[in-house]
Amino acid sequence: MQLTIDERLPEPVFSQIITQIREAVRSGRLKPGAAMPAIRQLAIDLQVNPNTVAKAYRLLERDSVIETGRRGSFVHRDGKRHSNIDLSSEAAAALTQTVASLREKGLTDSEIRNAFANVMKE
Amino acid sequence: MAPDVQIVLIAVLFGSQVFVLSFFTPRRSRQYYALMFARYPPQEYPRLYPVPREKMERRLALVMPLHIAIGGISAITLFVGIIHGADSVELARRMFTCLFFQILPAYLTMFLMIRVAKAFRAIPPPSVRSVELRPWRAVDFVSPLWIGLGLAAQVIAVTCAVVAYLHRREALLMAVFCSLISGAFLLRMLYVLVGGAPFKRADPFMSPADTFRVRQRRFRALFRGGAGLGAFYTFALLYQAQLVRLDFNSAYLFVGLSVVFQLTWLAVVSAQGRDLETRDFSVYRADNARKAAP
Repeated sequence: MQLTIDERLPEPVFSQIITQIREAVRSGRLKPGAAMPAIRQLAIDLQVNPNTVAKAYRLLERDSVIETGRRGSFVHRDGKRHSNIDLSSEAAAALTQTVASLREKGLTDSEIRNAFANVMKE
Repeated sequence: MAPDVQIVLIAVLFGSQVFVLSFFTPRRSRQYYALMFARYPPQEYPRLYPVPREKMERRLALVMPLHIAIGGISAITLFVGIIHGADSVELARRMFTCLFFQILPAYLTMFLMIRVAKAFRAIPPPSVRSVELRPWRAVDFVSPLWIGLGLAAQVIAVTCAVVAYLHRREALLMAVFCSLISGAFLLRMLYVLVGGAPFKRADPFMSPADTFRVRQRRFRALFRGGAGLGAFYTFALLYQAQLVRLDFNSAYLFVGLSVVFQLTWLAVVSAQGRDLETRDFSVYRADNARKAAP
């Protein structure tokens, strides 16, 4: 399976990696238990910072698409099911709903932004 | 073996050494670069020349006269040795001394190659790049047998360094030298085995097949070369510590070294020639926008 990144796209590189691995797991091209390349190896071959690959792996692990142990990273046994879960999209949907509701109540965008920034600081 | 036959054989080998190291292989190497510059000029293949072609040509132009001069002096040394009736050991010693000087121009080329390699690695990668999503293991590049032999040879060499020193204090210098080199080899081997990453890419535009071949060559050089070097150090240390005694003419040691160097140089220029015919140079064209990695 080929993993391709395009630095010209607005989507960050780590996000492109996540999207393609999710799609590969969802479509069955990456089977449960399949070994993933080491973070350093993938970073060297893709010629990106290892932190970029590490972030992608971390987020995939958070969503249980892959799992990491002493012997390395592997596709989660329930990876296919978990690959349909997209927490980032869920967060975007929830925020969109909240912002729309606050605007209906008459709050300005700058008030909403300030409130969000204060909540994030906590 | 009768002394006259020994002298004849060593003289023939000496002549072969002069021819191979000072004339044949430098000429083949020069032909390689001339072909590369002609087939893949910088105007059409700009990415192939991170170091400008003119700079490379100037440096390479220095090397050939040096080879010829040293080769000429070595040939005279051989001729004088034969005329003066040198014995086999003396002739072999002169051959080894000439070998030392004959490989000196290679250091000039080596510095250029290191500079070119660094320049390649510094090239910004293409915007679009692909990899095969699979974990690479050392056994993908070199057989487990050579991995085992390489590791074992270094461990044995380091152990023999300690044994040699304990047995004979005069072996200290050799023990330190061999243990440092073998230790470095061993650490490097362990790093590529457990470090989780193969060797770095030679350059960001190289095709997947060529990148795989370069990595394979490096793995093989590390483990096979390590096995040979470890075996040589082991023997040399035990011999130095007088734990191994061999009744042989010391000329054979110089003969062995000459043969090894000649074969190595021939293998290097042969690999250069093969590269020119098999490598995918289209990836270095100015209009090639997309590259892939293994």
